[in-house]
Amino acid sequence: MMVQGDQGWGQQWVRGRACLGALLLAVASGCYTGLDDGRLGQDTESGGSVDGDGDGDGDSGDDGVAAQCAEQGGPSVGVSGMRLLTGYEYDNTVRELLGDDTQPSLAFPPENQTTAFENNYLDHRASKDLVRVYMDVAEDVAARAVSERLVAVLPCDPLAIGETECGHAFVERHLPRAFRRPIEPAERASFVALFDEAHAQHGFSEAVSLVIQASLQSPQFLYRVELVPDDAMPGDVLPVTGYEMASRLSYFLTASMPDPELLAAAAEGGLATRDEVEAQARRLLDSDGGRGAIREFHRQWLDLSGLTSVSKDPAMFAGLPPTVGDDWRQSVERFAEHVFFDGGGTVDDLLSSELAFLPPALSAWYEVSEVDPETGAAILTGDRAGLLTQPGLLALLAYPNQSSPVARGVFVRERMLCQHLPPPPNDIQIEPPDPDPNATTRERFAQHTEDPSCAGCHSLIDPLGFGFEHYDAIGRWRTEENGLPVDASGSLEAIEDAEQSGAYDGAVELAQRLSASTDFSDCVTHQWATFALGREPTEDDLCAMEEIRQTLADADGDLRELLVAITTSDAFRFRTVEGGGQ
Amino acid sequence: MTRKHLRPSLAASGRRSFLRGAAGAAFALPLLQMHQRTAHAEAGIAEDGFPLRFVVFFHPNGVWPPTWWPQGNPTENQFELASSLQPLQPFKDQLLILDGVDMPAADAGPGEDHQQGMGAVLSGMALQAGGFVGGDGSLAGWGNGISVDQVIAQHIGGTTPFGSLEFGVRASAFGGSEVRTRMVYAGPAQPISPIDDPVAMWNLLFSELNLSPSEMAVLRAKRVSVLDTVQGQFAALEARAGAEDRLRLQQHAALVTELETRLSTEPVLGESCVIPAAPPALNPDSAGTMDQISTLQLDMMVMAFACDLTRVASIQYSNGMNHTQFPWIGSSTDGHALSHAGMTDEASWAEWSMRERWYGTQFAHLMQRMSEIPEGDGTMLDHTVILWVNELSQGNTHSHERMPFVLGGNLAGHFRTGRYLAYDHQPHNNLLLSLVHAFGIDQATFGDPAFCTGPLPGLT
Repeated sequence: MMVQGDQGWGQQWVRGRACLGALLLAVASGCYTGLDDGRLGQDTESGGSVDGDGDGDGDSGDDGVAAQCAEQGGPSVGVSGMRLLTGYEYDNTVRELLGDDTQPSLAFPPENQTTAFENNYLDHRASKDLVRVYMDVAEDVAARAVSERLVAVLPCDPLAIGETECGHAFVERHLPRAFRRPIEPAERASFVALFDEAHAQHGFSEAVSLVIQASLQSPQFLYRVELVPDDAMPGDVLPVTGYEMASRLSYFLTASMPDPELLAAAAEGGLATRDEVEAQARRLLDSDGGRGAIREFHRQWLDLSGLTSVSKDPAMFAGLPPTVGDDWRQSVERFAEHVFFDGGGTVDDLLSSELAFLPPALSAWYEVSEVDPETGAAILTGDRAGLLTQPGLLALLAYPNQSSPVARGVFVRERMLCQHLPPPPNDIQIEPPDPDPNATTRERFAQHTEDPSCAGCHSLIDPLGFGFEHYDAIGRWRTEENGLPVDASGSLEAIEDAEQSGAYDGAVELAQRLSASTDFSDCVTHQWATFALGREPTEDDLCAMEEIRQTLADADGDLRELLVAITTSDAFRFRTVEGGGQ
Repeated sequence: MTRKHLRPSLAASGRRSFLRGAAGAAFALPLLQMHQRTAHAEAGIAEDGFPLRFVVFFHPNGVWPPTWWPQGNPTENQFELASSLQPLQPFKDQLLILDGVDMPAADAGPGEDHQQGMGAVLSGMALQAGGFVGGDGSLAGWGNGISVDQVIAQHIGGTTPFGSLEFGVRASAFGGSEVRTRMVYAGPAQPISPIDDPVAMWNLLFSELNLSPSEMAVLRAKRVSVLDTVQGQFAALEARAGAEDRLRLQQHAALVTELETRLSTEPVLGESCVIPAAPPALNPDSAGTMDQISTLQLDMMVMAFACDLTRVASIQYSNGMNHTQFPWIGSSTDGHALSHAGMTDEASWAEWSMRERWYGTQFAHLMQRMSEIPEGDGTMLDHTVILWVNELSQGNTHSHERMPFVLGGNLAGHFRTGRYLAYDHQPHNNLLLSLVHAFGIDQATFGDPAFCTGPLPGLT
């Protein structure tokens, strides 16, 4: 996660023995020639030059990709594997399955991450702590289910039809829901045996509890199982249909188990075609679960969990509510939800609104011109540009007592443009400048770009971050700093879309350039695809990604169409068997 | 020889011979001396029959040399603790201050210095390439090897209810679980997350110790039934999964098997084993609670040792990317930014050194608590070695040279403590090798052998 960046670099400059070495390293790492572009379909051969297709004409070579894809025989898709439920998915699933709304995953260790997302199938894996906490949580969830909601959990009345009968009926009803597919005879026998033994020894409700505990620790519950037939070889491309597709759709679009309609469609073989998948995707997007999934995506994409750890200088911001971190996080999530469902719903809309959704205790900290009493939406003073100027995001990308142009610049590069910045070189002595109370943040940071060994990378970071200098450490609008006028001029360089490259003044102009660029919409596409697939798209997903990008462009940036296009793409509807040197 | 043979009187005494006061004030029933063990045969048992313990203590962002290292012209036996280590003055004769140890293994692979330092400090291995993130590989992956505490835990922790315990104090703040926030590894790319919430840790360690022996037997029987069913589900699925999925499922199933084994083991109740009162619910990710949580975590660690719930533990204070403030000592600057102060910025370094000194008080608190637990003719501290680590040597240079390693405790006389040792660029893999040797693990190198030339000389 480079999002918060290595903020300390913001106050460093480099001098001394290794200046030349640092310069060469920076060049080698790509800061002068352009950045490593994490997206695919831009250019996978020329090593991430600014002009993505390497032909120097400034376009991204889409025509060539489209032609190649048209000639392609069967579907091409990157390898993937079974995915462990994330904490958020676990919570939603036990709520749906057993009515447990206690968010038990709060006890889970955090998911391991190497991308922005917590659901990468390689990173998020079992550990000794997770296995232990799965047991503890399963015991707690089961205990609550049988003590608080036994009647609702059972499909029958044990007094009426007998405890054994009813226990077996519970297994019959619960297991297919927990495993998200019909159960097999051996599974039925195993869980019935567990029930019978526990029933004899510990009584009826404990036996039900143990069945629940075992189901919640079974891999068929914890993983989104996608089986490989005996005769399949590594590298084979398999369609994802039926119950496997039902879970792909429901966890992507509602972050929870498939609802009855989806399971019924799977049972009837109704998730095999593009049209069938599309119809279900549209339906799920309109469900309540859809809203939660949209918020969850933005929490991960924008690293909003980091707000939990944020604290601000108590001398400067005395009286901020103790819940400020969560308030900020929720306000950004709500903004994204608003754009998606209630606002214009396009990529542009993400970067072009003055609205913020702050609770009253927090909105007092900002100059607010109007509040919609129904939605809680407030119009903030100063220039505002949607996500980019959300108070919560700006507070995250700042120090306790001042803005952080470096953190903000890195954030735009990494999360909004999907570029990977190389780390600062290793073999340098860094002697940062002493602070100067009579200078603006910008003036102090200027040393980065004056020193040639820093300038290679920081000329790509700082001018982006300087554009946010009108927003202080908590994202309030300002026109002066230390009595000096704020200079928020910046420049957007090293992007694919040459037309949108160049100088700008302030976050609103930056946002306009970003939303007019293909770079931003391509990055949004990349982020959503990574989230949907539980892995980063690979070269094998090139055609699928191209098609998704094209659909988004044809739909004028409509985010709902983007999500639907992901579900109907080959990358989502097929999978490649792992192994075999893939 | 199994543990059961070592504890002939356990069955009569029962596992749950604790009482807790109604208001949560705890006290213990005595008896069952740990030194009744017949000793020696079991790995990690000192000659007096008490278990050896290993602790890792981490704080981030390097140190400020003038307030960390002994000043003047220190010699092996003639040196004064600098201000950051002053809180350890009562334990000076049980310290080894290791100067001149570098961490070249960290710099041998991809990543930036905080990432490299975290991945290498306990594993002695460079990071994996960033295979997950695509691109030119300039980004780092996870650490590439098992960490020293886990190697030791595998050797001496096989018979305790927990092989090791990972305590955190805001360890997952500022980044969640990623390469810069993890130093403990079960194996390559298998980071282990510390537990930051004292309530979660208490529940894990102590909540079941209140059960009567018969209640515990019932709970155990139920768990066996449940986990046996779960294992059946794993077996059925493994047979039908793809090769890579099968591997991950097998690893998961093995962890469940280990859990089952651990659940069937019983702590040895020493007379010092006292169930601590359940901690209050505190926000585990707040500058306002960090001080209090540190004490709670350290005290629980010591009690987990006293109850022989584990013999290996680590405690990690935040991580290199932190923005911590220390309001309880009046220090409100962003932690990472503070560590990047200019060489002549005396005010910042004074503030930084206050924080280092606070870490010193926490290390001293741990040693103090251990020294209060009698074990044989000595104390728990006499059976322990604590390794103090950092991911950098100095925050504003990001260097991995002259790492601030300190050992506390002599591990039943194995280490000759009370000394300051100045080395000439020894690789830190040598220190890690010395530590595994101290626990009776016979291996020729530790971590990347290219950076391991043999045990660190002069320690024993």
